Amino acid sequence: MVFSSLTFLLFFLPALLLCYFLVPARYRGVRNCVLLLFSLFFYRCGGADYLPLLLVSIGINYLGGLLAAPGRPLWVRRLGLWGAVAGGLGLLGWFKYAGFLASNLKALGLPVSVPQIVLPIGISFFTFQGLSYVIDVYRGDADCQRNPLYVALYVALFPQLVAGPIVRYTTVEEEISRRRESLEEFSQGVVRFCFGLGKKMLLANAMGEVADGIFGQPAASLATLTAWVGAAAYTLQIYFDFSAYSDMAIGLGRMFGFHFLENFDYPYIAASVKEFWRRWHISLSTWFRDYVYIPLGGSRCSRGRNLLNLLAVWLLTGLWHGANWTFVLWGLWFYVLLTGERYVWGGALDKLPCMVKHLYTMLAVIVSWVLFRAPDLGCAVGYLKAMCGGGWGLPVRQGVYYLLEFWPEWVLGVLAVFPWKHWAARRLEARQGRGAALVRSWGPVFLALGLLALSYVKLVSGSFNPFIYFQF
Amino acid sequence: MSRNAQRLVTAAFLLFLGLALAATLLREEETYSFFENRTLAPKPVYSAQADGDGSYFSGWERYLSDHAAGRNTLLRLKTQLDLALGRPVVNDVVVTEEALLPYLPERPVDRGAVSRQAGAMADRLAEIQAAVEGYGGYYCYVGVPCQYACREEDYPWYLNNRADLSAWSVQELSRAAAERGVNFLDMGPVFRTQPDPDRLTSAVDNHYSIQGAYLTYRTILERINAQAELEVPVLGEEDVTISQVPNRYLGSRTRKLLAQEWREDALYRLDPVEAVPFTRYNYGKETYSSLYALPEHPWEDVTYNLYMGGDLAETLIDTGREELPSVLVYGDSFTNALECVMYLSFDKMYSLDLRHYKDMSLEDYIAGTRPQVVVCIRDYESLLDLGANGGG
Repeated sequence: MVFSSLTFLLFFLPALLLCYFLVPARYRGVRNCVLLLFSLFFYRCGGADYLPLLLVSIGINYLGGLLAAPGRPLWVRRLGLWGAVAGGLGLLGWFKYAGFLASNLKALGLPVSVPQIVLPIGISFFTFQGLSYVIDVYRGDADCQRNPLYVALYVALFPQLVAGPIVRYTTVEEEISRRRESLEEFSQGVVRFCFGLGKKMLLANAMGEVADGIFGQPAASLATLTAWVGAAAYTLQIYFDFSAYSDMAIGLGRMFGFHFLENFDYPYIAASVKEFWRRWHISLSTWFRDYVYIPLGGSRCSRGRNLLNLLAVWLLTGLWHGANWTFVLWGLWFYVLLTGERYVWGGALDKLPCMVKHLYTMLAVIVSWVLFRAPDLGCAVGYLKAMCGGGWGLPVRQGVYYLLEFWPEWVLGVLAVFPWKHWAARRLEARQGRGAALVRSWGPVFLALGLLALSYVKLVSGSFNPFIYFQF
Repeated sequence: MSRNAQRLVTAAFLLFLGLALAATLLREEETYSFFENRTLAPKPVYSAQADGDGSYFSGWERYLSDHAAGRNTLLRLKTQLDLALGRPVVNDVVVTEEALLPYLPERPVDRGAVSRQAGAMADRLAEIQAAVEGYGGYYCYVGVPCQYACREEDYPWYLNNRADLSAWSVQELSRAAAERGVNFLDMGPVFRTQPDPDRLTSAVDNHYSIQGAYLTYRTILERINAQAELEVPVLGEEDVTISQVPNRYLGSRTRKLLAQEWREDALYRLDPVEAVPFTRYNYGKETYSSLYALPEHPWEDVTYNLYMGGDLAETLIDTGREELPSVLVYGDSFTNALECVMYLSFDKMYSLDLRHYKDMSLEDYIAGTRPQVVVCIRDYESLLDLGANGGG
């Protein structure tokens, strides 16, 4: 089930709101049980076969947390930590990477049969979330949670269960047992949810149609303009799609009194690749920073060691996104850019005019999304060649069609990557008077409700509604 | 946000969810969408396997999407909005000043594959022709340009009009047919050389007009009389009257746009000056003797199904004039308008649509009825399609 679906909007959410808020706030445990049961149901809607896997993952993390908690003998704590790490990564490895590994071994001529394994929804997200809990408990950064239902609620909480953001246990530790739902929180959650829904339904899906239409063709047949239009469309699609999901997750969390951290901060205004990664999928990059990069030694080591640490992080980041060489190449692409910025051209980049820095960053990012979107390395190379004018090329007209057909979405999409909201809010705050106060207070409300209505129209009238980040 | 704004957004959100849920639950169940011309998704059936792999709940999503409250109104609203925004393609319809045309996704033409397909098609046609000629009959495979092929120039420059594919398909089939001695008649050049080719095709539908069908009838019959030892009477323009039906023409493209955008177009019927009585049989059963399925009231919209009542598996029009030869017309829906004219020149006119007719193979049917003339009508889109009316 996805948030931008009628089953969610018309049945799941109303039923949950009713059951949840019918329970008096003083029965926090009962409210949590309601939330947990609905979260598990939410997950099983994607396929009941995978529910046991989620429960096993929860069990591993619960036991791992109990054993890894300070106060126990070190070997027990280590057993808890490494047991949870091995268990979590073992499940992830089997479901996500076994087929990839086997097919590569087979390609090398080894007598290996390739297992046909269906990737369970959200496994990468809930595995990393669970691991962060056990590691934080081991480090003493978080208290061990002795109530298994609360560990289950943390891992399976439906807003972030299948597509993030990867919520750290420390972020919601307090709120699981002591949080306050209020009209203010709920209404802010509604507004945020509606903005996310609108972003997904009105922008991401439209850009997805363009990207799918163009990437679905043989790269060699694309004209240069068309190839660029496709790459730009996918660049907008992946941002609006993923950030929309995060918006909706954050909004839904707010409705139930949870405060998840921001996952995106206008990444396409970044002036360097380093800055881009400070703004893009923040929960994933901070996860790798805190649980892989820093434990490996981070940047407080020799240059050679640092290069190795970064390589490990970016290979893993690439592989986290998918079991395919394109994702490995995607990770390596960012590794090269980030190490280049750190050790080679970072100084020169700083001195360039702002516009040039933005162009450099966007170019690097667009190329990265081509690697990310292409089904295999050959297609990725072919597509990049077409972008450089190397395809034999259908007439440019197809690119023109996609620009004209989706012109409202292109205009809105390009505008929406900029933080107008903050600029407008600052302007309005600086202005005195009743008009500014009214706009500040009512503007987001009417905009959110308008987006909700338009999204509903789109939901009912269109069947084109796939979420990109479900595949991770 | 002020306290009032918080109250409003919360109340509006909850009200929206509640109303949408109630309206969806209370909605009258429909199974077919007229404007989309498709069966709406049924309620999913529970099975452990479907539950396990998630298809049970995705089935519910499809069902709800098709049965949501106010769906038709919202679809109209979306269509109006897209038209107002000036999108060149709305609901897969290319909206131009002159016509509503099909959107044809850009695809590179694989000339080799088209040539091979034309060869395979010609092989199959040669077999059918041999079967007909085996008992002394006459066979002709007729290609008629569909709307997009007739109106290539109406497409904006940045949209695909399949001109390359159409031209290559016809050229390759002509070549392959000539090599195998298959009698292939391409109506494309005939249409193009008419003084007003736009009147031969619809502005809002994939099919030709009755004028286009009449021109096709005359061209086929002239060829039969020229090539075969048959004397089939050909009705000239003075022998027929063409009159506009009073009902508004809802073409397939207009329908796709949920009747939110119209172009000037009408349906016409053709009647002989001298009436030709006939008996009509559908699936072997005598039926109401009409060729034109007019709605009961003049204010009801009429579709291309006016002709012969739409696509039927098997029809026989028997005029009881044994001195005339018999004809079998088979093919896709382009046969329907043609049949409203064709029967006038024959004793018996058999009509088959092999997409629906499953009782026997085409060859068995031909062997059983032994019509003196067998004509297959395909439009450019299905010209090389071996499926169903391509002879299988």
